[in-house]
Amino acid sequence: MAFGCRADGVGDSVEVAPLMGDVHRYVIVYFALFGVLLLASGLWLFGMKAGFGVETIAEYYLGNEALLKPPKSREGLLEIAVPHLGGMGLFIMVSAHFVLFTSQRSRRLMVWVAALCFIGALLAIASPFAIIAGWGVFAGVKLAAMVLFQITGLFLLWTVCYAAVMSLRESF
Amino acid sequence: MKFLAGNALDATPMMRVLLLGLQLFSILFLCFDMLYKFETIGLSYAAVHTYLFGDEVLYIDAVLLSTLLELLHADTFFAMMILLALGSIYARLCPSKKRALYALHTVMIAALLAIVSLPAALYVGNIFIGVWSVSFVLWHLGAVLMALEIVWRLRR
Repeated sequence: MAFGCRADGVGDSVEVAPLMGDVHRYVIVYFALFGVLLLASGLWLFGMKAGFGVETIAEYYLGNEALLKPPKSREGLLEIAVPHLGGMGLFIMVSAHFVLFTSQRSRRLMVWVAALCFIGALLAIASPFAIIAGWGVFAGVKLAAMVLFQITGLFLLWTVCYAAVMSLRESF
Repeated sequence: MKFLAGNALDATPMMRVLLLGLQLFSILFLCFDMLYKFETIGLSYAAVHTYLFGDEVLYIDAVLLSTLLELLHADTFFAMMILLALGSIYARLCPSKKRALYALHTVMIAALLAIVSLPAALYVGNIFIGVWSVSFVLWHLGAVLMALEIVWRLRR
């Protein structure tokens, strides 16, 4: 798998991309490093605020009277959800579209990974609303969606970064 | 990126206008981000130290870790998107590959350092306060210069 090849996508109608230069490949490597930092900081923030247990997540959103923790309001959740709807969608699209520049042959796998990444992100954003609406089971969904988004996001970043590094090695 | 890596990037009038507009917004973002950080955190060692650890004499609280992480999380996203676009366009327009690589490595490494050095200052040591100040200014100024060169090369 390497960069600078065809951008033939899933179907045949996508135009062929020109060769990419070394500078573009470095840009992609750095993009992947930023992506890892973005995922790590998001995970750290979530773990610090809500924790990684189903009970702690439910408590974070529903509050705890004994510990004087107030429940999250719908407005508060919207403040978090709105920028993430824009940002996560953009992040997944940009990360995944670099795969089109690679000679990655298992296109079907990458399509599934990108789709699962979108689904994980969407569920992670939407499930807090279900939790405060009274569906406690969505605390587990939130955790599972976070894990799914992190794993698929890292896999996308690894795939494009690996392809860029291999291309750079070949060009030396 | 697929469009930026395509042919005739600078020859298309529409693309030229789009790229010039993007550079304008990027330059404004970078300048106002520097101003915003200067106002909220500060750039001197003393100001950043007070922001991170507080000051008992002046009754200034230390920043909450969650607040700092939220700031870094958003900064990481903006930096990656701005530098992805800027780096891709610069790679196409800069006539010297060597200079493009130097500029790219400098700006990207400085930006990565700026992101990790504030938490590192909290957990590792105060030396990272200086690292943050230098790397933060370096990546912003470097990116502004790259954007200005792109504007220069797109002129007609």
